[in-house]
Amino acid sequence: MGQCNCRKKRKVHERRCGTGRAGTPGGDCQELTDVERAIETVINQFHYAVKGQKEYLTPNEMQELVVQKLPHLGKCVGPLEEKIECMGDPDEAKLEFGEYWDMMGDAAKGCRRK
Amino acid sequence: MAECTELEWAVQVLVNNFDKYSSRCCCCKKPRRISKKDFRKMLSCELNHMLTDTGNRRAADKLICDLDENKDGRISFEEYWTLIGGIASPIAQIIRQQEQSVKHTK
Repeated sequence: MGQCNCRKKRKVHERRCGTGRAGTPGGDCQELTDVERAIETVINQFHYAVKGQKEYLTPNEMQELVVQKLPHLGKCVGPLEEKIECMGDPDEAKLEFGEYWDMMGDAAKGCRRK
Repeated sequence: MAECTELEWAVQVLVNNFDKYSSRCCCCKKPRRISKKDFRKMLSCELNHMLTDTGNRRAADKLICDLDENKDGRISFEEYWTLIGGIASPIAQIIRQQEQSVKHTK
């Protein structure tokens, strides 16, 4: 799993860098700021968690993501069961990127309180 | 936070970035905020690669424009998070589309 993520991540980097400054191959990569790498990481983690061709997380995928990827900050997101219930019918519930981002915002607020 | 995951690292970086550019009003105990000027500075210093794409830059300009309408003039943590999300969201879509097209061409 970890290895797979690495490979995928590099692919994204290469792609992004491919459109970077001409004449400095790979240079653009190293210049990415921490903030940019962080944003990219948050985006990538969403995409890794989404299975198949869809553009959203199911309640199960969301739960998996929080448990696996946010072992320390998960509790700041709030009770997951409640969130899942709010999403409505579990078979049709969708967590899109915007909502996922908001969820990370809750985790971030938890970070700040520490 | 011992042995945090990649995602937790990322969240922490974004939190630290807010703290780096935000300041506390000297006379009161209100939460920290970023001034519009510092927010622009943050965009150009910290997001200069992501915003090289004109589409993204336009999105960021629009975000700041929207902020201008809010006469408050200072950006709270919640607003900051929403704004970064507004920048991340189109990028997420682009990456997704690229990933899909890579899959299709394979």
